[in-house]
Amino acid sequence: MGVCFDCLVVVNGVPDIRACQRVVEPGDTIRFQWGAELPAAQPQKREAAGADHPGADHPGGERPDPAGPDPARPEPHARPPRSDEQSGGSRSAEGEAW
Amino acid sequence: MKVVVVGAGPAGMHAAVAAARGGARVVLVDSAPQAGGQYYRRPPGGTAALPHVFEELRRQPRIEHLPDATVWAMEAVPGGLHRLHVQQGPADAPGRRSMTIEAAALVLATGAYDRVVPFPGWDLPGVYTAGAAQALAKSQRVAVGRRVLVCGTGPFLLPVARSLLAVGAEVAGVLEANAPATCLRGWLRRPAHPWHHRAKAAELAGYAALLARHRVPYRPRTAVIAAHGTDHVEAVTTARLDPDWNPVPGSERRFAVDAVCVGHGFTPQLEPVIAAGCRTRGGFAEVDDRQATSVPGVFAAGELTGIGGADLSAAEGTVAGCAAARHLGHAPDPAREAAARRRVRHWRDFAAALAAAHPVRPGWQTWAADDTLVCRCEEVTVRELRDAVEHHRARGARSLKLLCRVGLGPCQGRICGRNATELADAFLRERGAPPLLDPDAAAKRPLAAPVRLADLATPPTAYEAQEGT
Repeated sequence: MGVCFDCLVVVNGVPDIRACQRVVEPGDTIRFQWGAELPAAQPQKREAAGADHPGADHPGGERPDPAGPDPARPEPHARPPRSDEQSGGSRSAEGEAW
Repeated sequence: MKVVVVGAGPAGMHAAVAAARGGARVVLVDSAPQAGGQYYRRPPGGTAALPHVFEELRRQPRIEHLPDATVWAMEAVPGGLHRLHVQQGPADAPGRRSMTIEAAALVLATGAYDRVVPFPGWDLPGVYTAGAAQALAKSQRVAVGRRVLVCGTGPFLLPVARSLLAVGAEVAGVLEANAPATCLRGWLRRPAHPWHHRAKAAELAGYAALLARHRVPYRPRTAVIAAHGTDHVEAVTTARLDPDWNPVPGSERRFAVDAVCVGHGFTPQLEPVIAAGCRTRGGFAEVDDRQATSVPGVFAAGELTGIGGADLSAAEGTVAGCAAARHLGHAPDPAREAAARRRVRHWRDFAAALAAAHPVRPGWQTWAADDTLVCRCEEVTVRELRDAVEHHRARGARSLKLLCRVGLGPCQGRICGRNATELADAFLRERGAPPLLDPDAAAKRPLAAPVRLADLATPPTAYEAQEGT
C-alpha cells in the first residue's frame, strides 16, 4: 500500500495526498481529486505539517501557489467537470512533472 | 559515525536493536507512524501481543526512531558516507521537516509490496491488493467490502482472509491460482527443516480451522480473471486454471461480491538499493552471509533480499545490524550473531521452497483483453503496448516507455513495471525477437518518493546539526 498513487485526494486545498497513507485530523476538508490539480490559492485550512509530530518544530503550512488559475484537467474517464474545477490542461503535462 | 536503518518492519527493527546492542549509534527511519511494518501493523497506540523487540527498541538509548519519515533520495558522499534526503511529517504534506542524514553504515530494510497482474476490470474501485486490504483491516479496522473474494497465489492470502474475517467481512472464498501439485513439488523441493514443519504446520492448521469455522471455501487452481461493475465492483468472473494459469474453457463462473483482494506475490521496494549502487540478482538485492551488499558499508535485510516472511526478515535484520556495527569498529556479541546466521540459513530454505511452490505463471497474459489497462497512471492498454512493440519496434524498456508512456505516471512503474516487461517480452517472442534489452530499467527511480517543487527549493537541515552531534 502507498505505491500506486491511484487514491490521491485534495486535503484542505492541497492536492496529491495519498488517501491510503494520510491519517485524518479533526477538521480536515477532504474531496476527490480529478486528474492533475494545483494547490488552491486560498486553502480552506492551514496544512499544519507535523504540528503534532514529535520533534517537528519547523514552520509548517502550505505555500499558496502563485501560478494562478487551476489547470485541472478532466478525469480521463470523461467524468463531467465539477463546478469548482476547470477543464483543460494537457494529458502529458502531468507525466512530465514526475 | 552512526548506522542508519531504513524501514522499521521486522528486519529493520532487529537490525537497529542488534547494531545498538553492539555499541553503535542508530537512526531508524520509517515512513509509518509507528514501528512494526506490515507484519505488526495495528491501530494507533495498539500494543497487544507485541514481541520483545518493540520494548528493546523503545528503551535502547542509542536508537533514535524517526517515524513518518520518507527517504526520497540517497547519494554517496566523500569519505565512504551515504547521504539520505528525508522528509518527516504527515504523508504527502507540503512543508514537512526536511533533512539530510549521513550514514557511515547503512541497513536497507524497506520490504516489499504486492504484485498484481492485470485482468479486465482490475482498475475498478473495489479491487484491492491483498496487502492493502490487510493494512486497512489491521490499522483502521476497516473492511474493504461486505462480501469479499481473496485471490492470487501464496500463503499470504490466508492471513489476509483472517484479517478480513476479524473486521466482520464475509469472505466468499480464497482462490489459489497454482495447482496443488505445483505447491507440493515446491515445498518438497528441499528437505524442509523440522523447524519449519513445526512452526508453519501449526500456522497452516490454524488457518484451515479458521476457514472451516467461517465456511470459507479454499479453491486451488482457480483465479478471478475479470471484475465487473460500472463505478464499483459488483461481480467477478472466476475460472479454473491449467498449471500455466491459462483459463480452462467452460469453467467460468460469476460471483456477486463488492470487493476483491488480489496478491500475486511481492515486488521488493528496491529504490534505495539501486540508489546506493548495490548489485541485484533476479530482482532482489544481492547479499553475502553477513547481509553485505556489493557496496561497502551497505547492508540489506528482509524482503529486499528475497521473499521469506517475518521470521527470516528478523534473523537477517539481526545479522545486518551486527555487521553494520562491526563495520564502524564495534564488537557485537558473536554468539548472538552466529545464532541469527543459523536462523537465516534455515529460513532461506523455506523462502526458496515458497518461491518454487507459488510461482506466477505466464497464462495470466491471456486474462487481459486488448483494452485492459496495463499502466493505470498513464492509461496504457494492452493494445497500445503491443503497438509499441510491433509497429514502433520498441526493443528496450526505455524505448517502450517513450513510445507508449507505460510506467511514466505517478507510480513510476511500481504497479505495472514487471507486468509490462513480461507482456512486451511475450510480444517480442511471438515475433522471434530477443527479450527487452534493459528489463531492470523499470525499477530505476532516482527519486524514491514524489517531492513538491517548493520543498525541493527549500534547503534541508542536516540531521546532525539539529541533534547537535
